[in-house]
Amino acid sequence: MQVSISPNHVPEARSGSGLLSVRNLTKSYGALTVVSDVSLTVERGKILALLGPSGCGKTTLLKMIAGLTGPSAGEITVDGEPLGGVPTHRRRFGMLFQNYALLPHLNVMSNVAFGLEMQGFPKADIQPRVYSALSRVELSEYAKRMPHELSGGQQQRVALARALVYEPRLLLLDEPFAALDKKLRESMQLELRSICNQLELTTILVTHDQDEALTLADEIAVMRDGRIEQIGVSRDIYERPRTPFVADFVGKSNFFPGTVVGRDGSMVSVRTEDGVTLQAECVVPIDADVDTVLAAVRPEAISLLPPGTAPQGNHAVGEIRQVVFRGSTITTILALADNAEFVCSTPAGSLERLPKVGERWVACWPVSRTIAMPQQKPQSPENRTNATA
Amino acid sequence: MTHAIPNGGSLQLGRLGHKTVGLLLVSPAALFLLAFFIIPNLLLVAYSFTAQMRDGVLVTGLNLENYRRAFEVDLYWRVLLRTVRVAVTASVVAAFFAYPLAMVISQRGRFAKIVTLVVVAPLLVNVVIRSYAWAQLLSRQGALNWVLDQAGIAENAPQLLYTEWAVLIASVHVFLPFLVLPLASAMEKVPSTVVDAARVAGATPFAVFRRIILPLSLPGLVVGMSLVFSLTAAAYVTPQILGGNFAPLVGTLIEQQVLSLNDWPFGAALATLLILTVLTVNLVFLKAVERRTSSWTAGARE
Repeated sequence: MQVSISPNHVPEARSGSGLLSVRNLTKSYGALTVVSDVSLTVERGKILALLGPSGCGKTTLLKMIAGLTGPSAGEITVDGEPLGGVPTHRRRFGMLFQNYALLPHLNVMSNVAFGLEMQGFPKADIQPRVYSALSRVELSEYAKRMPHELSGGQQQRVALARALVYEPRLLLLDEPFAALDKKLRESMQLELRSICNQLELTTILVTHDQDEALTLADEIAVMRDGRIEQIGVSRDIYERPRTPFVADFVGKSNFFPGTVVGRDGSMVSVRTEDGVTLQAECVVPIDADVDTVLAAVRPEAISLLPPGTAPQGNHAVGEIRQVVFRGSTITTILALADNAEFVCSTPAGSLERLPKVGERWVACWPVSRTIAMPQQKPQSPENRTNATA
Repeated sequence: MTHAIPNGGSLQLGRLGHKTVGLLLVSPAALFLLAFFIIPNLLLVAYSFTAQMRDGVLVTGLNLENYRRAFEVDLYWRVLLRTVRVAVTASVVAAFFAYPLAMVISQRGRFAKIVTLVVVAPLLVNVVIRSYAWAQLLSRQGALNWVLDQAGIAENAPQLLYTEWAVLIASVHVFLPFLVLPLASAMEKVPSTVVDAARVAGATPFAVFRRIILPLSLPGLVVGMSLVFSLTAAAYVTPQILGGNFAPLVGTLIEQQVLSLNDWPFGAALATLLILTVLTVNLVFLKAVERRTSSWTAGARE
C-alpha cells in the first residue's frame, strides 16, 4: 500500500516542499517483513504521529529514519537530500527515548553539551547554548545534577534539551512519555507541542497511545502489520476512519455489520443484522459488488432517550446492561436484539434520568456521524506472525 | 503459613531478624574460609617472623632475618619486580585483547557464542598440557621460529621459551577470560538506547566507544584487570614451565625454598611479600578507579 498525504488532507497548504519524505521503505529480517513499502511525507514544522499497536513496525520505521537501522529497500530524504549513505551521526536529528537514555556518567550540563561537542560546535558557543536549552525546559538550576538524581519527567526534559540544543533538522520521539504518570504525561505533551510549534520543528512521534497522538500530532499515520493503514490530519483520522481497524484503534467505535440496501452518491443505506436500517457515509468508496459492510459510530455521538420515545434518524433500541458514572461522562452499555453490545458515552447531566439496568432505551445518532466501511480483509497469515518490532 | 504452626515451632527462625539469618547463611562458607584459608595464611605469616634456617638448622624465635635477606639479596628483589612487571603487563595486554572480544560478546550477534567459547577454551585444558603446548610453539625449533624462518623474517631467531615473553604470552592466553567476561557483562549493562542516543547526537562509532562504552565499562575492566594481575602474579606452573630458571617469578622461588632447599621460613617470608604486593597493587588500583566512577555507577546500575 502506498499512502501519502494528498493535498486535500491538509487544511492549509504550506509553501515549501515536505521536509521529510519516505518512499517505499521496507525492512525485512530474512522472511520477516517488519515494515512493508511505507511512503509518507511530513511537512516542515509539522508533527506526525506513527500510531499503532506493538509489533506494527512503527519503531523500526523511526529507527530507519534515524539511521539506527538500515532499510532493506526504499528511500528517505530530508529537504530533498537522500539519506541513504548518511550515517546516523551526520544526520543532525534529535531523538527522545522511552527510557530517556541520558548518559549516566555525565551530569545534566555535559549531557546537553554532548551533541554540540560531537558535532564540532565552537567551544565558546557551547555553554550559552546549553543554558538556553536548559532554560527552555526549565531546568537551568539542575545543570550540575547527575541523571539518576532527577525524576523521570526531569530526565526526559534533559533529553529534550539535549536534542534541541543543536537545532535538529528532525525531532524523533520514541514513546517519549510512556513511562510517566498520566498527569505529568499530559502536561509534558502540551509543553512539547508548544516547543515544537515555537521552533517549527518537524517531528515524528512513535506511540501506541491514541490520546498522545491526538494531543500532539498534526497528522497521524495509523500503522498495522508493517503498513500504513491510514494517514491524514488528526481530525480526519478520528472522524473519518477508512477501515474498521482505524475506527477501533483510534478512539472507540460501535460496529454494525450489515448489508447495503441502497446507494446515493457517497451515502449508503445499511440493513443491520439487528433489522434496523441505518444511513451512513462512505469515506472509502464501496464497490458496487460489495454488499456486506460495517457501519460505525462513536460512543460519544450517541444520545440516549428514555423508553417509549419515538426514535428518529439512525437509532437502535437495546436493553441497558451496565451504567458507569465516570464524572464528566456516563458510559452506558446496551445489548441489542442479537446480543451484541453497544457503548454510549453521554455527558453527565444531558440525560433526563440515569438509565436503569434492564430498561429498553433508544440510542440515536446523526447520520453525519455514521461511517460505512468495507469489512476488513482478514489479515494474511504471514503478516499476522511477521510483525514483531 | 506461620499461624498453622504452634508457638515455639521451627519457624522461630523467622523471629531472629534479618541480621541473624544472614549471619547463619554465610557462616558455613565463612567457617570454611577461616579454617582452610585465613588461619593457614596467618600461620604462614607468623612462621616467617618466628623461625629461620641458620646453616641448615631450623632456629625458632622472633626475628626479621628472613625479610632482611629478601630485601638485601639482589636476586629476590629482581624476581619480585619481574613478577609485578609481568603481571601488570599481562593485565594491560589482556585488556587490549579483551575489548574487541567483549564487544562482540556483549552485542550478542552471530559470533558471540563462538567467541565466548574460544575465549574460555584455555580454561578447559590442563595447565601443564597447555604450558607444554606453548613450550612447543615457542622453543628454538618451535612453530613460531619455523614460521619466521620460512617467511624469511628472521633466521635462527632466538627462542622466546624461558624468557619473560613466554610467560607473558601464556599468561595472557589463559587468564584472558577472567578479563573478557566481566568486561562483556559490564558492556551488556550499557542500555542500547544510550548508545543510540549518542549516535543520533552526533557521536561517531569511535566517539561512542571513547565517551560511552569505555567509561561505562570501567567497573568491569577494573575487576578483570585485577583478576588477571593477581592470577598472573601468583601463578606457578606456567612461569615454571615457560620461564624455567632463567626467568623465574616469585612462585618458582617459593617452591625452590620450600621443596628444594627446605627453607620453610624464608619461603613463608617470600609468600608473605607476594600476598602483600598483590593486595597493595589491587587496593590502590581499585580505589583510584572507584573514586572516578562512584559518582555515576549508582545511576548506571538502576
